[in-house]
Amino acid sequence: MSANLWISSHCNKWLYSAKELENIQKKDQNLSKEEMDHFYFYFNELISVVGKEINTRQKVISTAKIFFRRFYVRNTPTSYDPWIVAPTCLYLSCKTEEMRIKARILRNAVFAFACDWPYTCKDLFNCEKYLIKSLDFSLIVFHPYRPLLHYSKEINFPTEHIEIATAVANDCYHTDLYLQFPPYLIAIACLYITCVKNRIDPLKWIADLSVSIDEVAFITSKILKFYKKSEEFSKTNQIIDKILEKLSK
Amino acid sequence: MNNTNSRKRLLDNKWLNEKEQKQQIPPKLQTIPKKFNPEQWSSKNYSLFRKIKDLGLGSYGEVFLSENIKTRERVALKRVRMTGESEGFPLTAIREIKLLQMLDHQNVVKLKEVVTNDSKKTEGKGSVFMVFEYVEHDLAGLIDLPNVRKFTLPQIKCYIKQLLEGLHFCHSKNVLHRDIKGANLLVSKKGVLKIADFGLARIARDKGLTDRVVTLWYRSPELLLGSSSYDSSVDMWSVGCVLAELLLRKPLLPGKKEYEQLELIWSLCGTPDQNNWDGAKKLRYFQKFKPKKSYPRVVREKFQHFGKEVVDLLDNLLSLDPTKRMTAHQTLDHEFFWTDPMPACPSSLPNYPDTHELDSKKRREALHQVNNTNNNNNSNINNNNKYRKKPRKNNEQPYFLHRKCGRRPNGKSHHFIKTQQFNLNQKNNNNINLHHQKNQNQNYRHINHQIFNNNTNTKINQLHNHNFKHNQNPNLNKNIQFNHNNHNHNQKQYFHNKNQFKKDIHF
Repeated sequence: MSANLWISSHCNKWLYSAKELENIQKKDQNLSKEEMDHFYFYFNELISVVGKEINTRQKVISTAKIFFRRFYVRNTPTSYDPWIVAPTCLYLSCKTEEMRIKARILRNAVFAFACDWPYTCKDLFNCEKYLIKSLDFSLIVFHPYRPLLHYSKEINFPTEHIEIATAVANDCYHTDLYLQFPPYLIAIACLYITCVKNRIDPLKWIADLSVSIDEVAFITSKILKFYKKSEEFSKTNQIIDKILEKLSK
Repeated sequence: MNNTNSRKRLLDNKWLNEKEQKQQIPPKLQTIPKKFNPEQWSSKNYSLFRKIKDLGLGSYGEVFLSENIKTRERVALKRVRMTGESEGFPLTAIREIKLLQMLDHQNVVKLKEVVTNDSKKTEGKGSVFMVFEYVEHDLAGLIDLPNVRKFTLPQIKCYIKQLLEGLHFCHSKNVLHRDIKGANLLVSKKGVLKIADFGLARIARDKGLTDRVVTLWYRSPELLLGSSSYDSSVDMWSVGCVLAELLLRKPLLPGKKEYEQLELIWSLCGTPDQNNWDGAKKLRYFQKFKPKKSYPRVVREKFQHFGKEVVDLLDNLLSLDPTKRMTAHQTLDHEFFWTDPMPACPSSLPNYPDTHELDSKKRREALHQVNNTNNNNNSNINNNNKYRKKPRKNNEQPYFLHRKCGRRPNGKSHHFIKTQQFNLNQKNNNNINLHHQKNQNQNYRHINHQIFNNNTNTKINQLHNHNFKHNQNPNLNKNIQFNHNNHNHNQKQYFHNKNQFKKDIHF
């Protein structure tokens, strides 16, 4: 619990190994792993679309996505309706990142995408309480944006490349990487991908950092896997009905 | 609207064709309960703690001492105020929790965890408690403590140095505390000072800050003049006030209202002019609160006998222009901390019995009652012992405790106090007409105040006389007798001031 990553709750409480994550997801015997991926993808998109509607910063949206993931580590999707949890995550992250918005405005923004959204502001407040509690009041979330800028200064990256790297980092929120690795490692992996894409040799630079290359390679492979799957994710809207039906059983 | 249109825009076009979007609509999850079951929110953690006693009350909520049943560890629990919030979980509480999690320093109070006590009974409206490490004293309590001798200079240096170290850490993390005062500075048994109560703190930014922060006595002139873009220098002014309070053993600038506070500041630090503070004219309320007379600056004269370094430091900290005040980091390099007598080692400081602001408030209040009964004797009103005996309930707060002028924008304002007093005055008049035909236990205090107010001229004499001569009240608290036995000149003056202040608050 601190501004320092290494003694923060982000590092000590909320990073899991791959095995632990598998065990957590096994609790929901209803859904396969791929279905869970679609589930997270769909509601992450909801968060970012609603976030853009109410004109928040990217950092707020990213925090909300992490809150959403963490909430469903502690709770099963069958017990809490993601349709209320996702907007609540956004509402809470607006508060923690000092971009306060009114609940009424958020509700209207959600209505723009789902006019039959059955919840009121009161439900939002109730859910917020529950959300804060299951987050264990650890409200400080670290993001890869700052280390990304820091490292890109070291290798004198042009701004176009930095934009690509941040876009990759944003896409990482669709995966469960942020529950496994500290954000600075993800930043390095994103820079690694952009380096390779633009034919800059990254190995010299990474060798100078005291970072295990295996971990970086693992993260990059995961990111690339996600991009290969992107065609699958275009079918999310077709599958999400079945997934939500399964959840409600 | 049709369901088909409602969710079509949800996914980006790059993932989907529009036709497909129209066809696929996720169903509403009917079976999942809309409202959350409060039982599920209930925390087992809170039941681990056993309440021992109250530590502090105020507009910020309540703090009480508790004990962990299993580990026997003593902690301080602070209840988060949830009432009166229209926007869910209060933002101030979120800020406080987040900032306390950020700040990990030996001179900043440590937030151990946050627990909740929701259960079936509270129906989801249960409270949230912050669990702090328990620290035995606070600085305001230590100053008020009747049998503590004057602080030695090394002791004061030690406290101020630790305060500045903690504050420097906060400022380096870009956090403004905005409520530095004696009651918010805790001192542990080992002499370590800890900054507490981050209820008003926030991350610094350039514009759009509220000027209604910091307790009035410690509020800097630029805040009083309505500045909305200030920086860490507001905290440094408060440090100056705390240092002066430690030296004088009484508040430096005890104003009752904003304009009076400014008058006090002008009379001590001089009026602002071009050399002194050029930016003052641009502030919002400068025309409104313009100084009527021009005063000279008397800070150096007032603190002359405390030594050259003290005068130098205070002169700098209490400079009107916020840009001229030193930062916490610069102040730590000041000669004050590097000349003989050097700051004491925290572990070498004397031990005191546990004190907190609430205790000293109770003590003051008890003294107040003594004065009133004394007045009663003089004014020939039948005075039953029952009146004096009446114990105060734990929950019942004396109304002067609401004095937190402008402490929090949502808190109770002057207006609230005024209306309450008005009602009381009316009651008092009625009561006096009735000549106490019945045992009016409930209103006895107000009557006393009324009389107290009428006899203001004789009050000081009575206070002293009572302390020396009269010993007619066998039913007094132990606290009061304690005061009688040990008092020196300083204390008397101090209590006198406090009483005067209280009187003005009442009427």
